[in-house]
Amino acid sequence: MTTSYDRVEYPTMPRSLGHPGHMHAMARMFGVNAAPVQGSRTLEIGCGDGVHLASCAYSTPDAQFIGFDLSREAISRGQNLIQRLGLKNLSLQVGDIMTWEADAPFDYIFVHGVYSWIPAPVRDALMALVARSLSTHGVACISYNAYPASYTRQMLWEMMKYHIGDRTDPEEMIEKALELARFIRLCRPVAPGEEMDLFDNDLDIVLNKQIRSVLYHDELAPINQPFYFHEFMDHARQHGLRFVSELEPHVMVSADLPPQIDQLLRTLSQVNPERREQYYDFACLRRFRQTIVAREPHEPKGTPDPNALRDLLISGNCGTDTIDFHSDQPMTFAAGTTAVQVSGTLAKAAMVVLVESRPRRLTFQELLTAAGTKIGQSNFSESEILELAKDLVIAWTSGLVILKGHRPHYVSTVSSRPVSSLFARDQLRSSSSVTSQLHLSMRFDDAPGRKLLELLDGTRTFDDLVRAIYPTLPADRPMTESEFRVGLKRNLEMLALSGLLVA
Amino acid sequence: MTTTYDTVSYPTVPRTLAHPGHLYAVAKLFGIPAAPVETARVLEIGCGDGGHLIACAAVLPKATFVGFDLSSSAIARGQLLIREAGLANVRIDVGDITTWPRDGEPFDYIIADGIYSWIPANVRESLVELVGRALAPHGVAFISYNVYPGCYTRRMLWEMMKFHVRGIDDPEQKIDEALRMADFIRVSRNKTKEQRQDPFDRDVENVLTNRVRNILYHDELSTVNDPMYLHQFANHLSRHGLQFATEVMPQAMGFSTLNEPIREKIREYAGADRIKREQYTDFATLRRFRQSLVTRSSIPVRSEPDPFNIRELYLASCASYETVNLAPDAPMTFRSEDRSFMTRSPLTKAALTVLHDQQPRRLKYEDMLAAALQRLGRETSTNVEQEELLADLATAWTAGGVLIKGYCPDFACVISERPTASPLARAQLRIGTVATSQLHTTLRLEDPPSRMLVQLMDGTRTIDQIAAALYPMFPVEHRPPIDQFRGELERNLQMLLRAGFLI
Repeated sequence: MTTSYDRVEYPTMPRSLGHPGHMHAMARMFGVNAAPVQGSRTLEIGCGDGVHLASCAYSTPDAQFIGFDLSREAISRGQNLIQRLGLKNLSLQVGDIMTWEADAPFDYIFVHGVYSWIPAPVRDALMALVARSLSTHGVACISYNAYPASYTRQMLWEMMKYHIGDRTDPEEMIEKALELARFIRLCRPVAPGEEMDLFDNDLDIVLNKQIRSVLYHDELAPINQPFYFHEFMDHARQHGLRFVSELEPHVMVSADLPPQIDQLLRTLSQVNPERREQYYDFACLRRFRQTIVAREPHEPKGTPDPNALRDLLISGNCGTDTIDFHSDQPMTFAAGTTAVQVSGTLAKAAMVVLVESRPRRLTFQELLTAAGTKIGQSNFSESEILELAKDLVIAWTSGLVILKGHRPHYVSTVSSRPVSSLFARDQLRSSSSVTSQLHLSMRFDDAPGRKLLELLDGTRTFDDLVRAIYPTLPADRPMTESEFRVGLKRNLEMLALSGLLVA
Repeated sequence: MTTTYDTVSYPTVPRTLAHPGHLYAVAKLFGIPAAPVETARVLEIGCGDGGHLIACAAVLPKATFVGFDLSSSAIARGQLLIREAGLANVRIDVGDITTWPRDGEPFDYIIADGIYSWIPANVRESLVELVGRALAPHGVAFISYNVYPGCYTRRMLWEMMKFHVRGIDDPEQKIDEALRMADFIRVSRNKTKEQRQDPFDRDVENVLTNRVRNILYHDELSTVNDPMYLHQFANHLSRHGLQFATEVMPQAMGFSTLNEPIREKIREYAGADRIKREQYTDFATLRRFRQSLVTRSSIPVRSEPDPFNIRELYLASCASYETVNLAPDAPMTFRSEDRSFMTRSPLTKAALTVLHDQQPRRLKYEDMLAAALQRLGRETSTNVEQEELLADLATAWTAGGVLIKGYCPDFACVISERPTASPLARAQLRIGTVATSQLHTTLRLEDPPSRMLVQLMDGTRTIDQIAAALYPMFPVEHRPPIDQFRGELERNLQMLLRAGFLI
């Protein structure tokens, strides 16, 4: 069968939040006893060319991954990738949601960009398939376009489709769609610096889409059915699934909203977490959701469990300006535009440890010990530990701390003959952006940097690398060999730290 | 049968745009051979308590008016008013769109205001079928309906409010909770008043500040509220031998109001297709509501109004000027509510000045021309001058500076010795507190003395006698000094005169 995805390729990319290690952390924090990532089985439905699964499988060799997709083209590209990477723990299959059957239950199921874009009967079959394929403590994440704010996008989709009329050539369709978007912008000029949201922002996103084929598959999809969260959950419940959380930690809190709304939503999360979710969507005019559901018949927990954090791996994702453990003054930790103030001595020390060791993933015990060393304390009462865990939860939902359920396969020190991630080297063939074993996305725009990553195949010593790269440096950037050696050493350490070296 | 309109009454307000006299004028301007309104047969589908229809009947005594509505309590209220006002040319009954007899004498005008989008799909089908059957060959229908794309932002709000009021039966509580929900969203949006420029934010603001509670109940919270695109509406009409002819208020959000670069694009996209042109105009303005003139498919309709046809119509001013300067080539600016119109032509300047000075009088074109010439101290005008005047009047109409109507109701322009209020207004104020003038505007008179004033103006009393009868009505402690009372009485009389309540 030929799908529209066979005609126009849809670029797929690794999604760090779609890794079972992240889903594990979300599930545990929200009260589901999800399986350890090691030895787990993960399914991706509608996996496209399997790039996401391949990145998971390559960085997590001790777990199993299976994916299927209707597009033969895409699966065949994915199978080539499996061969190039020599993956033994990933299987990609051509399959149809209506007929596909699992041979054994899955601990994690990831369904991204499928639910809203398939006909109603297939959508129902999808939910049924998810429900019967999950293991007892299994969790699934399903993404979909959400109301209310998808209405402003729908305005644009429908106007573009009217303008396209009965044209069927994809390039022509994309051209007409953009023409209509430019027409609407002409009608609704936005002054520079003017803050846009909702409709004007949607318009801006379409006009600035870098990848035309994404426009074709998203905005112009023949089926694109958004749902309210409560409608999605009604559907999930019909199949015995219940709400766990969203995939992104920061949307589980509402600190960004005005205080009285935040308070209202907090109260709601205590009495009825699902209702809190719906009103949160109303308050922030949600347009897209990635909802985690589970089979476990417990009631959903509205707030994350600090105790669950103690079994997870913790890494920092923020910085700080000043270090001051002992005064009463709080310390500020920030990532991008988000900042959190930390007051407790132990919590301050733990955050500093995370800042200094980023992006390494530490166990709670490792973090506690290292923080204790910083402040000269080695024994902690249960209440001190709980306070720390609570502070870390706040830092986590603010995006300053990352929680994961597994340690990926990588080496954090540079060996005598370093080996870079084969997956990253493979990505460099078609893109200047690569994904590390820690699921960090990194850009390699300069030729020497790309060459370095390619040469790291385990056959070269540091001196070999210098000999191979130094003569190829561009003439307009003069650098002595000893300067180069210092820079190379630093680069290799950076690659190791980022999780791009596997041996 | 009991409808939601029996539980919470929907105030029917006379709508000048749905008045057959207005429909006649618009039809004439667009070349549609509509029947003279003075002797026309008019049907209103879903007439509610007849507030609109009965007021039309009162000023067009030789025309015949028929109306029906599903709500028996509304019809009973209307029937009481008809009896009280002694009107013989209007009849309203309880009736259902799906079963209302189709085979009677056809109607020259059919009005369906606020019905189309608010009824189930099968009844909507029946409505258009009824119009298709009951409309005379040259008849014109008025249909108002909600349209996309603009209604998507409204729908966001409707659905959030409806989710919030689920399970509440009591209408008053339902309205309270819906308003609480709208406020929840306004607070969540966290914008200052000046920042609320997005269409959605304006909808929220509108519901919170401008909405009459009962209208909120029947519009925003209506169980059925299905907007559609204009092209879908036009398609629907064509299945019943009908067509979209024009808007009843072409100046509002019309093609002609757009900037030239936008019009140029629309011409390119739509070519000669009138529906397409209107559809792209809706895209350009994100239109949300339409009030369309509908005719049989076989009737040719002009794409622009024909100024020549103004000669058969009545004109009134709704623009003001600062200084008169009728000298050739001197510019003179006339300002309407939100726009202005500049002309140098002496004849046009004289005509608009005449109309302004005689406000609210409606002048037949030839009478206006004669008065304008007299103003200029001339006796005749050339054909070229008249053509120019007509074109200017059409432009002024589009700019909202001139009203063009199909008839002249009977109303006084000076206070006579024994002033007479219209029998309809007197009847309305015997029953309730709202009165409709001969010019189809409404006035709410909450205080008994004001209502009594209108009752006393039955043509038998001089102003002195009216004053003598009214003065004792004020309780002694609130009784104003007699001179002050006389002054207020004069002002009230002037106000009633200008609003068209005296005959």
